[in-house]
Amino acid sequence: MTEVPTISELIHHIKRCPAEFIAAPVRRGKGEVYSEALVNDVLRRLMQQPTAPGKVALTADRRSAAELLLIQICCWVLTHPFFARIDNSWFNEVFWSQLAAVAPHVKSELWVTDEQRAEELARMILKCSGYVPAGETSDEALDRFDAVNTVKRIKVIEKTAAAEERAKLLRRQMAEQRAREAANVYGRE
Amino acid sequence: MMKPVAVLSDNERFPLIDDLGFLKELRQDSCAPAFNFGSGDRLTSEKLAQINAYAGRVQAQQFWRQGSQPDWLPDFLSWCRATVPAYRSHSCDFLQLPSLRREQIAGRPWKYVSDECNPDEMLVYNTSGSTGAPMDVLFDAVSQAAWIVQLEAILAADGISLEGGQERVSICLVCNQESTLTYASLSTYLRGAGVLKINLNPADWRKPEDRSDYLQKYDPEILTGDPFTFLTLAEMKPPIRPKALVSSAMTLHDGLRRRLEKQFGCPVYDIYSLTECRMIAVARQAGIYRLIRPDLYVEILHSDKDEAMPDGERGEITVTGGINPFLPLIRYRTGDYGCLRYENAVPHLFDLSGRAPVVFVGSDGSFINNVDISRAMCEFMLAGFKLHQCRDRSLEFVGWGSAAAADIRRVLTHIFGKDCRLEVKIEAADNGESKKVSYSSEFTEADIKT
Amino acid sequence: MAERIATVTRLKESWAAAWSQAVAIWSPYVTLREPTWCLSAQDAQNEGLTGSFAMIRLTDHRVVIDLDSVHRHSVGDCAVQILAHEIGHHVLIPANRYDNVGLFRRMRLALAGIEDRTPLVANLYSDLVINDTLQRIHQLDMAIVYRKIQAKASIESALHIWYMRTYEYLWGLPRGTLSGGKQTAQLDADASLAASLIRSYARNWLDGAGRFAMLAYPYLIEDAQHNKARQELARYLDAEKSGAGAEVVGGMAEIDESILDGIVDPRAEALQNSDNKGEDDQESDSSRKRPEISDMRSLQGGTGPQKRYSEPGTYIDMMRQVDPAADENRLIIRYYREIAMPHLVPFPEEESAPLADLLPEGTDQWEPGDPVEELDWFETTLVSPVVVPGVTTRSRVFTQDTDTPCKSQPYNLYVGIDCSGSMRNPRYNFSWPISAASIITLSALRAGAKVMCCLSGEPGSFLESDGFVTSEHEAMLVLTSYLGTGYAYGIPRLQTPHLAEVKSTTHLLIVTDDDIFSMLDAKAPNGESNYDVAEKALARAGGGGTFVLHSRPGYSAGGVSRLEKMGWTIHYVTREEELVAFARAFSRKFYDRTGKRQ
Repeated sequence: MTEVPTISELIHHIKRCPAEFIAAPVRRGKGEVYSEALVNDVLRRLMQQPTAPGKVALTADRRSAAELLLIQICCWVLTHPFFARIDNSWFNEVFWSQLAAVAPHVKSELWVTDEQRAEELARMILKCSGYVPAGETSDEALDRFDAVNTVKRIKVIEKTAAAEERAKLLRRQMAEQRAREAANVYGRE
Repeated sequence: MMKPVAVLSDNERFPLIDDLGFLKELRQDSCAPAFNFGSGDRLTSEKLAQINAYAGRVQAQQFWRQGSQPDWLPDFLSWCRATVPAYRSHSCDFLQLPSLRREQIAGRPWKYVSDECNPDEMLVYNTSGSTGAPMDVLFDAVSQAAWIVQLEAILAADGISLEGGQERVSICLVCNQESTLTYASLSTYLRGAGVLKINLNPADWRKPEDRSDYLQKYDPEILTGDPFTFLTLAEMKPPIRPKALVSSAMTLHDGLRRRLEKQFGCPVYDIYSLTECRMIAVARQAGIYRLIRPDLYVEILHSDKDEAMPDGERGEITVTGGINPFLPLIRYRTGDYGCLRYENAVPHLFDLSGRAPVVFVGSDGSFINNVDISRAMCEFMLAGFKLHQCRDRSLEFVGWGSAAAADIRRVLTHIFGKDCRLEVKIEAADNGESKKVSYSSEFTEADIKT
Repeated sequence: MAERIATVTRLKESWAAAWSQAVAIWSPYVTLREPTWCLSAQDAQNEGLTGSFAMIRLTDHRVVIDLDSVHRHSVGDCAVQILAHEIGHHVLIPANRYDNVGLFRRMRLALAGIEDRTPLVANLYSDLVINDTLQRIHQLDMAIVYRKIQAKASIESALHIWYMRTYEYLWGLPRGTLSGGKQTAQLDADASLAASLIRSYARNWLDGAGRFAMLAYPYLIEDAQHNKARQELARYLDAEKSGAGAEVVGGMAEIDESILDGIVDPRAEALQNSDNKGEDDQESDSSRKRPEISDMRSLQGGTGPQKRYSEPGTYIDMMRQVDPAADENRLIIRYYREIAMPHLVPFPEEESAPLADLLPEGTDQWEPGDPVEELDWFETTLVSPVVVPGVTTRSRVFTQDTDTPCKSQPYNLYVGIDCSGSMRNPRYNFSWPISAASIITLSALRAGAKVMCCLSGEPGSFLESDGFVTSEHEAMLVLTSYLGTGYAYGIPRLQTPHLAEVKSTTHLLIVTDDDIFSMLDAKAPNGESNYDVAEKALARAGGGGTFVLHSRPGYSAGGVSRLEKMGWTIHYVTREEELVAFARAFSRKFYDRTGKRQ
């Protein structure tokens, strides 16, 4: 049986991400890291086929810098020995599309510096790989991923933020106006 | 609770009136009271146009037919659903809509403000709550000025019109309280006419005679006040010739009405109105209130269920509509009870209760206005309270919330005098359900007319 | 009963033993006295504890612990954690009275409309910062304390759930460990934002204060929610009144623009970040949502010279929230003094002011915001070689030696201010006339003159100082009061006996508006014309007289020329703002004693 790491172990791993993985991706001729090459390198390592031809085409120019950076960071995450021990078929389009959805909401460096974002990334990748972190039940794992899920959080905020902002504005105005003279009133009612 | 503060300049109060000479005259007159506040209608030309348009509508609009709903109702409901947060999840079927209670609004008035409102135009009026806990009512300059239009409509039915114009006081709001905000103001809608709010309490004046002299000098077209105030005024016998007296806040009985009509030689109107929606109905004889606003739909609902009572049966008076975008009302329960009947296709309210005058008597036999009590209680954290006076002038007070009995005792002793026996009980307020304010007394008007 | 007392006494011993350990967690160099131990509920009440089992006071650097309550909450074995937490309030947040006010003023901006909730929110924020620091940096098991207390707590209010859920996020605790069973997706979202915020701003906690309060806002917007939350969280509120009983912290009347950047809703920030979808500039700060400075200004109503100051009502509210016992009169005087300060004449130079004129009386605390020229470096260095503004800094207090004959005594000053209905209450709204009068009065006092102040709104009422005074407090107390009666300054006030038997040359200064001409046309109570009253008073005073009229030149030309013939100077201001420039010029003309006298 494969031994799954705990979430804190993965977070620890993520936070040690070397600078090369978060260097600017090459887009439209500018940048430092060829993300596509990086992904294919990692895949070869996972498949233990060092000379296999590149399997993944990223078309970097059509992706945002944030998305490419997140892909690069994921590459670092996958260097954890655990991922070399498990099947790698989950490392596919479904996985990529998830990254595209979340990437624009988070400042890239936060994935490797902020505790919560690192946890989100660890849980997202584990979930995609079909494993539950050590010490958790699958329900717990699901709930904890929900709790740090940026896309979900943004949806909740989007739904309520405008109404809250308006309520705040009116509340403030009320406090200001109640202490002031109103227009002339007609008497007792 | 923080008292409101006068902070505007006169130019901000009356953006459209250039010559404020009359206002100064009203304030600086040698008989003038010591006004303690400032107030204006803040009407800009855009707002004034809206008020004039409302006046036109009021003249043209017809009441809904018996057994049917007003024509404007569907549009109003869909506008509420689209723009008012509290009504967003309402269905289209009016009769299925939940009723609305004062407490619901009081906790979160901002949820009842239409998205179309500009917060900068918000005005706030805190009602001390003669029948309920204190509440902030939000409105704007247009819905505020509407009361004069509504008043005109009432007078017009009897062929009376307001002259207005500069150099003329059109309306004088008369109070008789220990203390209240008083001011001299103008009405832009009435073309710069004066609007006064005065307190008959002699402490507000340099000499007691000034009260009568000041009124005589400016001879207002209309006086408004509550029945007790009018009684005090009648006894002062000021030589004035108003076009009408307008009584509000509590039922005006026929005896006093006849006396006032005879003494002042003008009709006396008893108006049923609420801060939340302004005027609703008017009575020329005790007990029969004619509805005056086709833009305010009145239903009679069952006291516990959101169901309309059968025609003519008694229940809680509930209103829908109005012109205040800061507080559009849908099935708002007024807390007052009565029945609704149609006469010549105009709806009338009968057996209106909740407005019976309550007579409190101080230890020296003087009359005490319950407004002073409501005001004084505002300083405490009470969800509501009940005050009853027995024939021997003793008082029973029950408050819900947190306050020290000794503090309540001190305040009541200040108002009623040292010799009134006083029983004060403070109980915990139940969470959620707030209690109302209720006054009762074994004294009647007969006890103070002597 | 006896058993309980024995338990509490045992607790005292073990807690006293834990104290030095708790101190050492922060730093062995922290010097705080051992806490005040309350052994009974009554003791605790006497110390000012209400509902919580601990509290701190910044004023005398105290920690107070209610051991009876500790026992009742079953946290007797958490001495080190709880004591370290209380010490954290002294060394980390709010740490000192100056930063405490800073915390409050930031949060009040964010809590616009519900500012009364500030002490609660400030306390919760401080606790989060301290506890997370202790748990993560100092490896102290703070979670156990909360687990114990929360196990028995009622957790119904949204604020309470959100706050506890934030700890769960911070410390990776399973859902519901501290926050009960009623979370929603929205509470989760907001708690996750709060946890990130606490981490990001742990070091610069003042910068995160506005954001945290913004997050709390929706959970406190309704009064009923607020009351419920307070009730449930009462036992944790140990720092709400930490600023009580202190001297007024200076420099708080002026708006600090740098803090406005931090009044941002993290929800808006989160959405703003996600608006950059697919764009390269996602790392640039410029696209972040931040309210325009002008918005924030209007939000808090910048007023006074250069619109740099808070409204006085706002200022008083804030300072009383920091210290509920603060005297409103002292606060309002402090407010106008701070505004006047940059405009005062310089202190007399030594050669022109005889030494005996001003006698050093002692020293007082000098706070950041006090005029730098009042700082006494010598005394400050005596207190401590390390200068901590507001803590070790001293200012010199002078007293006047009235017996000393003075060669060139400056003119005494009579200031009459129109305080009628047309004037705004200087306690609620910034008042240009009162600012101007403060500048002139404080300048005159600085120069060694005596001042008599009179507010008058007549017909109606007036308020005046007890003759000519040298006390800043007495003069300012009159100026910052309010009448709001009548329509103008009452000319008959010039008949005061203090002006009738005036001994030194006195200048009369009257600040009023157009309506003064109606007043001058009226008669004084003794039947004399008010014009005559003004003329006689001017002659007796001997130092000239000035009417400052908020009016247009040309209004009541007849009245003006009559006054000018008597010898009165008429100075018009068409906009109230001009009063400050007038006050500066007037002060320099009469009271600049640095030798550059005009």
